[in-house]
Amino acid sequence: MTTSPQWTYLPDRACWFVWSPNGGVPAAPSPDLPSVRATTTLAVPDGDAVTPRDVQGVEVPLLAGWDWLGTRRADPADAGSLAGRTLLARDPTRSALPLPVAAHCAPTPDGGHVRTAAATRDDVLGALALLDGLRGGGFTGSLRGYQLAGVRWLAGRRSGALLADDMGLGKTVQALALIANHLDEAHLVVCPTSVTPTWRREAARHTPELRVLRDGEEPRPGTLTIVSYARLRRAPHPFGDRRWGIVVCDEAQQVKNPRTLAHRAVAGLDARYRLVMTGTPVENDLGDLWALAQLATPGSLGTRRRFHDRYVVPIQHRGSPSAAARLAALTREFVLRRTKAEVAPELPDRQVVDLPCPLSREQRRLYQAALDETFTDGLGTGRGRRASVLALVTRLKQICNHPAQALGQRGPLPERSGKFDRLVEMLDESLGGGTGCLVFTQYTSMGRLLVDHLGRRHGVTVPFLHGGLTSDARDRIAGDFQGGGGPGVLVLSLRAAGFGLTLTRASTVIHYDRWWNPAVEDQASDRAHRIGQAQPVTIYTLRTAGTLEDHIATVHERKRGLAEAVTSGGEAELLALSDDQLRDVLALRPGAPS
Amino acid sequence: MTAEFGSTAWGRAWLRRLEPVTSAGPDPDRVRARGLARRAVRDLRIRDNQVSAVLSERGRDHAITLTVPAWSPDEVRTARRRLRSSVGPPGGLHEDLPDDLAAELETAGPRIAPDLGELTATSSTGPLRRAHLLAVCYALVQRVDEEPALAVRLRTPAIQDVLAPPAPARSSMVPLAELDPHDFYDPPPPGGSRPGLDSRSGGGGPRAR
Repeated sequence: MTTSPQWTYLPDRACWFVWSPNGGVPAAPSPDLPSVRATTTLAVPDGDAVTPRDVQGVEVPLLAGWDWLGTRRADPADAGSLAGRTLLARDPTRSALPLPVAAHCAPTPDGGHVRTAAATRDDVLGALALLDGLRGGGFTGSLRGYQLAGVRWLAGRRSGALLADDMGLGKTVQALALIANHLDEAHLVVCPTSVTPTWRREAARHTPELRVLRDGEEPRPGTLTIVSYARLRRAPHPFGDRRWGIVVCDEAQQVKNPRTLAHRAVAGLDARYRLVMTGTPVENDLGDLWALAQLATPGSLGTRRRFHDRYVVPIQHRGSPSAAARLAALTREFVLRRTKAEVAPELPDRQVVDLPCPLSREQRRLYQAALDETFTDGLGTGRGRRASVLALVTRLKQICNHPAQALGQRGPLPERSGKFDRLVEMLDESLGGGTGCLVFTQYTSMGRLLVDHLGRRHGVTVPFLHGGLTSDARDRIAGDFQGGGGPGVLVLSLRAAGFGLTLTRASTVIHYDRWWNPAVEDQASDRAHRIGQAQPVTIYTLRTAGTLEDHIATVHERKRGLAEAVTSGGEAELLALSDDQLRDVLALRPGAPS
Repeated sequence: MTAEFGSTAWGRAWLRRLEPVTSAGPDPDRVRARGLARRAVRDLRIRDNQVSAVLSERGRDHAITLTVPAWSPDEVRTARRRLRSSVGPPGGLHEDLPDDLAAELETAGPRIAPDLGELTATSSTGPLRRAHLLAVCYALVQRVDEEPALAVRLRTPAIQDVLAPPAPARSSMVPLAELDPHDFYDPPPPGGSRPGLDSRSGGGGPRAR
């Protein structure tokens, strides 16, 4: 048996896996080659059989590894898999495949097979061709291995698919890559209002050749129309009267109820391909999966009644393993779901994601009125001016958070704040997915609104850790959360709970509002990202686009640019500005999304 | 509301044999059997026309095997005709069969489920109790509800083409059981001929064991 490092292609991750049959982790194949340590399941010899086993090794990105294989000098000591891969990289068209099983021993999702040498060669060449095609289609994004594998899988579905990756794994970028391969068609994204700015920004960033249309513009090949579920529900005709290339339904758990107008409006869209995306394909009931599958691939799970009888009842009521296994096999054809833990080696330990959110009409009106009122009355001078400026900034930040907070109301809360609606969607996913999540806000009043709303929405008690609690109560809440109790979401006051606690149960951190100093936010985020954390941590910062919160984000960038040096607070900077300069900083940006 | 036993016409066809309308009064064995099917029957497996399961009661495991009698050649011919005209296109839900078809089939002749007396039944612990036999049958009803095509397969052992054509062989995959651990790391011999699996592996695939 060879002891040299083996080169195995992992089709589900679109990467090479270098490993040693004797155990242990081989050195990186070349100092110039990017690689990351990982553990993966391979089918390997075990006595007289070949069985799936966890194997340690290093992952090497597909393209970098392919280029290296194609230019390296073969060595007589090479393992058969490395020698074979080297020959193939030099001449991919050779008819005889010089690959031992070790070169293609990643088990298939059913766990009972491996892909053949020929199929794996096709996987490699197909993924490389896809990368070429994406470049040709003007896709400027960078896909991680699992994302490339995801796009390839999606492209291989006939008429639609359900992409159900965990939150934070990049469903949007995979959808844009799929679209970039078809610039000869007009495409449509349907999503919650709160997500439309993210789509606009991500499309501009990753697919600059794809023109994102403004309201009323006529869809043409190479364009992307973005519409909210609410608008599609109110006025389905302009969208339902034409044929689309790809229709993406983002945050599709919002339209999981087949009886709603929104579901019917989405189902009525005529498309060559329907990509349904959600991080929670099953929120409360297996019936959710049927409804989402019905949008992606109508009929694939049979009628709703039959699905209920054959899968929902056997699985949910009597825990039937045979029904669960058959459903898993059936959905494998059109559902792709990867968890954070599965792709952890490819994720950075700590990833910060900025989420721009739209203003509601009410927020826009209140924001503008607060500015007009303050500047019409005048800011005054001296201490009075200072108090006026700080009061104005606070009011604007509260309006960005939620009109109810600014107006001292207890509700209603939905559809009045872009940030709030976005947060609720994210927490629906977190509560459904079971991963722990911390939500920081600097305002106790906002924290109370959040926990009340989440409690009512999900029928759970979401704890709120704030400065008004006794130290015993704080310790109990933190201990319960860390010990796995409660719903998995914890709302915290930024100033009162942003330090000293260990809350590594959470792998998601959300900053609902922005503090001037990034160090304070970082310290809060480190409640989850610290020793003991086994998963990558994703930190989301919600930002009401086109408002004062853009300015705060800029201040953050600048301060980080100064090597996170301690600098004066942003409010102090605002106080130094003239009235005109201040108004300029605080004013609504033209084109602020709503 | 979905019935616990017999939610599909195929499951109900079996249920009718367990609970014939002609039976007089409550049957304590049946009541007990339903309870046992819910909580005491496990590892229900079906191979051809054999159904096996383990029933655990009062700390004792009973390995129970039932053999379902096959349809006669005439019944198979009738079933084949009906199934081919009704089952959806290949690639559909091969495990499911329309409820209408169950009634149509029974009207045409072949009975979906045999009478209890036609089953050959054994237990690893001695004579098989009626309640135990019924319990395994109730568990089988639930399995048939999940996968109605089983009702036909149980009656047509060793006949491949009664139902819609089986899914095409997955030629891009090799079962792990066919892989030889002894040449796992070795490239194929020059000329690329390994017996058995060359067509699937493009000349460089694993050796058949």
